[in-house]
Amino acid sequence: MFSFLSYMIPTTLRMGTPIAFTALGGVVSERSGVNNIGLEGIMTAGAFAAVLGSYYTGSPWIGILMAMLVGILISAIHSVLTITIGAKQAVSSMALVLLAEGLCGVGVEAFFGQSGSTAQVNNLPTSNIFASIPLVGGFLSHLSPFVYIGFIALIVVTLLFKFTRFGFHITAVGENPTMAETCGINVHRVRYISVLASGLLGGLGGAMLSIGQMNLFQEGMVAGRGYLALGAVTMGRWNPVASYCSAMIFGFFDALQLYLQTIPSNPIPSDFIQMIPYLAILIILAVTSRKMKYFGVTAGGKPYTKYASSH
Amino acid sequence: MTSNKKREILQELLIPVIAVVLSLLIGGIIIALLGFNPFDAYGALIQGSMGSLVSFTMTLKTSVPLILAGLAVAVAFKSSAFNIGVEGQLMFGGLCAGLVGIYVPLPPGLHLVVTLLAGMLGGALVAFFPAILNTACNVSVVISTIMLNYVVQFFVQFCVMGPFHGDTSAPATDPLLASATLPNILPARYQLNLGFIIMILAVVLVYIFMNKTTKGYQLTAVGLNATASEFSGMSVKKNIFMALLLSGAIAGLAGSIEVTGTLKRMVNGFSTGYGFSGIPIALMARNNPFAIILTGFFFGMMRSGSFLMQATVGVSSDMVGIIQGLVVVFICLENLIRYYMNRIK
Repeated sequence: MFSFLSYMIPTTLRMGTPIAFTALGGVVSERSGVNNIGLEGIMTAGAFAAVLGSYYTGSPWIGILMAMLVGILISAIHSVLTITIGAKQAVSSMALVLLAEGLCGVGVEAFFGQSGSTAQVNNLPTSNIFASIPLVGGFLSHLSPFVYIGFIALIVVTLLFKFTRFGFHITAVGENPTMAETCGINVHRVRYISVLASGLLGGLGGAMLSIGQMNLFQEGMVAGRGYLALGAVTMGRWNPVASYCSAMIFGFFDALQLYLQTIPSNPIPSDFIQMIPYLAILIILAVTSRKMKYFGVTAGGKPYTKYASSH
Repeated sequence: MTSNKKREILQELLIPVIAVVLSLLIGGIIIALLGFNPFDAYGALIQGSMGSLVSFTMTLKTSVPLILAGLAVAVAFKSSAFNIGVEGQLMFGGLCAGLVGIYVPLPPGLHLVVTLLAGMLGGALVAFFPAILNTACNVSVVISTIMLNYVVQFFVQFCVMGPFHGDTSAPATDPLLASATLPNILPARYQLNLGFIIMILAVVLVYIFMNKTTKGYQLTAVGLNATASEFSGMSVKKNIFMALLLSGAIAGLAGSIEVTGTLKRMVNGFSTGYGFSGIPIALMARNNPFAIILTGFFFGMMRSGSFLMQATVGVSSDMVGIIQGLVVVFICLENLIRYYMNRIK
């Protein structure tokens, strides 16, 4: 039992944190009324940018910066299309996914001269600064710094919605943009910042996949985690803490899947074990969405134009 | 028809064309930035897809699953459901068709029909889960369809690599029985099979269903205005449910045509993103079945030409993916394009 727990706790954090980062981004963006199915694409771009940054500078921290920057850039496309132009949010998000996958595929060949995956780069698998702490130091230092950045992101986003003016503005803009505008809030500005923030967090999530869990970028490595993050946002009812925890539940199933694969002479074929996280989310969503009272952000998914009612 | 209305129709037709031109332009800039000559690259793309009668029929054949995938996306779109699970439905349809084609010997003719029907049923089955989850449990179609893609991917992998793995080193089953394969409709070297005719038939049937039947009309009405439809007695959820099943069946047909016509056996991971390409194909055609033939052919051209482009010019065939994404971006800009077109006239 102890060996099971000592495997599951760090692995859950390791597998859940990328989804949690992205889910936090999803919360910020969706609370402001802009749905973002394109988180998958943002993660892909972030994962590749992180490797690129680490490859050229040798420092994975620069990689993280690059991932955040690219996440912001790619979500800027989504924000222009949906907020300024008023395009359908689901369609524009799909553009992000297609674009990111295409660009990363071409980028892998252009920068590394090989297809499918990049060269290996410096990564951040452990946090050695905690190693000297007595008792828990060993455990803490075995986690990637990304896990701690994830905690910080959770605290920041929670405080943002609980205590700051801007957080209230995001909620106001998502619930009733017309009223918010009447009160003097610049709806478009708030939505822009929220979508760009989701790009930053999604980029971080992607970076953790490539230089936190591994040390390279592979095509298809995001494998639906951006969509899992969306599921986590829905499951967490657009609340940062609940969404973070939901992401960790998916992380748990991912960890469970990995654990089951390590058991020797396991009778279940590995293909079925790998299905577990995806099936788990379907079942969890089916059970939890059924009695849902809060159907999400009131003005979510609707473009807002000044001088016209949003209905 | 007034001249104003004519102008409006012309304008609507021009928007996707402008979107494609702009995407190719930006794609060309990216190619140039990578250090290649964009004219050479696009030249190879056209040469590879339409340079000869053989390559042209090859492109037609490549377009068949793309057009059907676009049609599948469009049917769901019409009812406002966003089916990103076409990829999985297509794969599972292919698997079902492949298994019936190998293990269920039937008289010629009948065997082919049953095989294709099995594929359609398989696709519809995969679409059934998101449909029922949406109807009964309020689960977002987007999330459930995409999650099922992964579930199906692993399941197909298990079947093809495990119990049904053929006597081959390839990740594939045994070949289909001859009675379950689609016959060629042109001399053998042109490679065009009956799947092409079936695809045209499917497009016509979907068009008739959407535009000439009450059920199809309801489906569209629900997509256009859910509240009004609900008030006039149509069930929104029931129509979305139906649209998803139909969408899945068409996706399954796409997969089974690929398996019975092109591959003649079930291959693990045979769909290289056909389902995802279906999204820009449907969007560009504005969900019009006949326009989907054109837009699907355009994407087929890029796919079949991209191999020559990679081989002779050296531009990665992933470039096609970028252009797909750009097309969607510019389709999203339709309001802006329309605005500038109105200013010009």
